[in-house]
Amino acid sequence: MNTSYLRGMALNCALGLDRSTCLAALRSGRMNSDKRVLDMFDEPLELSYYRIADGADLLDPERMKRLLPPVVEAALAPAGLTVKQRRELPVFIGSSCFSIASEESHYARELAHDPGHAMPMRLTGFDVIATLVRETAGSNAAAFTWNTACTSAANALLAAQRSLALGRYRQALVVGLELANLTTLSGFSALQLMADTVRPFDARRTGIVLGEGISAVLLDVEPGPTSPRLVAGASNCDTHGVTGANPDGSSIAAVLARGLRMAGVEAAQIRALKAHGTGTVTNDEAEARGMHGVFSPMPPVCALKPWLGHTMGACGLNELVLFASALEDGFIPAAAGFETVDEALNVVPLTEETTAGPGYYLLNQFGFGGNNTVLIMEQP
Amino acid sequence: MQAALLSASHYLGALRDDEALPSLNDLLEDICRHSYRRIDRFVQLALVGSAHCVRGVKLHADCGIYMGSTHGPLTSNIRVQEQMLRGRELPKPFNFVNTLGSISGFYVADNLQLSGPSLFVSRYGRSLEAALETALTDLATEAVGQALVGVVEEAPLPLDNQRLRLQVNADVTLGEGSHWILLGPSAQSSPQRELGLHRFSGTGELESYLASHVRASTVVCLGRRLGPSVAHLLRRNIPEAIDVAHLPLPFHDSIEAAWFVDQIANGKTGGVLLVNGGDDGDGCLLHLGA
Repeated sequence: MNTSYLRGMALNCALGLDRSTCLAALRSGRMNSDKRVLDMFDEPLELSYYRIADGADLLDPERMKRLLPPVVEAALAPAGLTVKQRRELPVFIGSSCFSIASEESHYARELAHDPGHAMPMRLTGFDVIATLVRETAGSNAAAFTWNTACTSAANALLAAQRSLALGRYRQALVVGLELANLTTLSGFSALQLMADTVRPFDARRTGIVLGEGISAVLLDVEPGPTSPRLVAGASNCDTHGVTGANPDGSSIAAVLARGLRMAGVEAAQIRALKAHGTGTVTNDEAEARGMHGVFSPMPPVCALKPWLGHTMGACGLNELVLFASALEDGFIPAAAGFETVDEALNVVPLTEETTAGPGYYLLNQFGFGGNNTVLIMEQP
Repeated sequence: MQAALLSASHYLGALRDDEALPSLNDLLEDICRHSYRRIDRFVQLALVGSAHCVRGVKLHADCGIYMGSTHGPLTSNIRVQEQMLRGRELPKPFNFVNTLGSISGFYVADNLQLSGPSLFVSRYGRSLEAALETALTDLATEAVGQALVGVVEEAPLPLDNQRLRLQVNADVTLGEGSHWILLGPSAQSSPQRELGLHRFSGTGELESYLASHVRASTVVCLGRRLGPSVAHLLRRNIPEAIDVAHLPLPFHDSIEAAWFVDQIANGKTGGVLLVNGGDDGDGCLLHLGA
């Protein structure tokens, strides 16, 4: 089977508009969440949010067309693909927002002008991101779009890795995208899962803070000079509850064990672990128990949502790019803001960045609908 | 890429403008382990189709679920937008949760007691091939031992609005569908039960495939997104090929999946071939026994 390398990576998130700016912000401890007020409801919503600092109106439906192409080009650039290679490049998308901001904007305009004939979801379909990515990359090849809640982009990456392993493609472009939309912001508010500050595994944790982010990865069977390797991963479905994994950690332990088996790696070989770490009471409980079920002793744990927020369907790729970039730069990031140990969890994420070295690293992602996905990468 | 076809089921219901959507409650009562509350029409369709597909088949607990849809759970998305933008209030929590495509896979997994991956992967009008390629890849890499592949499309009322979304004429009969295939590793079946996916780029590759794989008994269907050169080649070489756009089927936006799964669910054994895409790359052949 072929091996997959992360040949090109790009990221635009609240930390910065490109990967090097994000990395510099991470090193300097600069976070960019702030308060947003949504005043379109009878009772206005005030919430913390990590937005991309592009200066545009947060809910401007045209933002995707401006923000996505530069990320795609930045991920493609290091490999210097020919026109033919770009034409044959399959596209794997993971998202949970798709074109929902456009649909909301369109419906709101119709309601304002002619409420009797206003029609929601006029511009429906999951393909809008894939279409823009294919146009940007010059691809005429297959396109796949994953919608598995917060594991979407991780599952897209895993599918691309397996396709390359089988020799179906020599390269694949994987994109994760989350941009602000009313449905997500108000839906999570309705679920009462939102907090002012995200504190993964902290005894004071109260919930998530949402964020935006766009990332792209060029997977290639040929490595670049310093390319990390995407080794393998696994995915499973936990039917304990539709909005969260079983708090006993059993399904998370199972997917961790399965991922390690698929990668041919022992738990003791994992140098550090990037947790999903949403900062909700129940997710962190299930994740902690799942990790304890597989790792003894626990490797160093890092949680990235204090840096870029919970970027939903894109978080699996956004966080992988940020994590891999930090490893390439020689460090494992700290979980900003962690202060109070939760004795029941017995997970203490890194409170200061620590030195990274060659070896295996594991990344967790979990989502609504019982979706659990783990990825294992190797830093050269 | 190919796998053994273990079973299939097909539901395609015609909808009438002047009637409510037909109730699925009796079917659900018959096939569900629990009386699921807070589920929407999309989940109901997924539950009905998946349960019928696996009836009488021994499932592995780690069987993967691979669902696709062009439009996903539209009813819940419409309801949430109406609550937010017309009603100026927060969405109801379970309406919001049901806007996610993968929620249907959760209920299918729970009903069938599966714990393997539950994936929702789509492509406009070509979701069967997207879900099938993912499933075949997972079978080939031994990530799963069985794969339950389904395509679901719903049609929210009023149907005139749905016709605008689908960009079809006012006289088109709309349908809702749930089309499912259960697959196992390739070595488990005879060649007649081998289901495969083959990608091609341009007419040259397609012509050589047709020459070596298509027999007189093979039923060939042309999808709606064929490139012009590919369509011309197919109509010239296989004049009896069926054009899916001209079939008298209740319409939804995965109608190719409806035709393909209908053929195999009804025991067509002489070879079934569905062709889509193809002029600039990105052509795809789905075949059974071909």
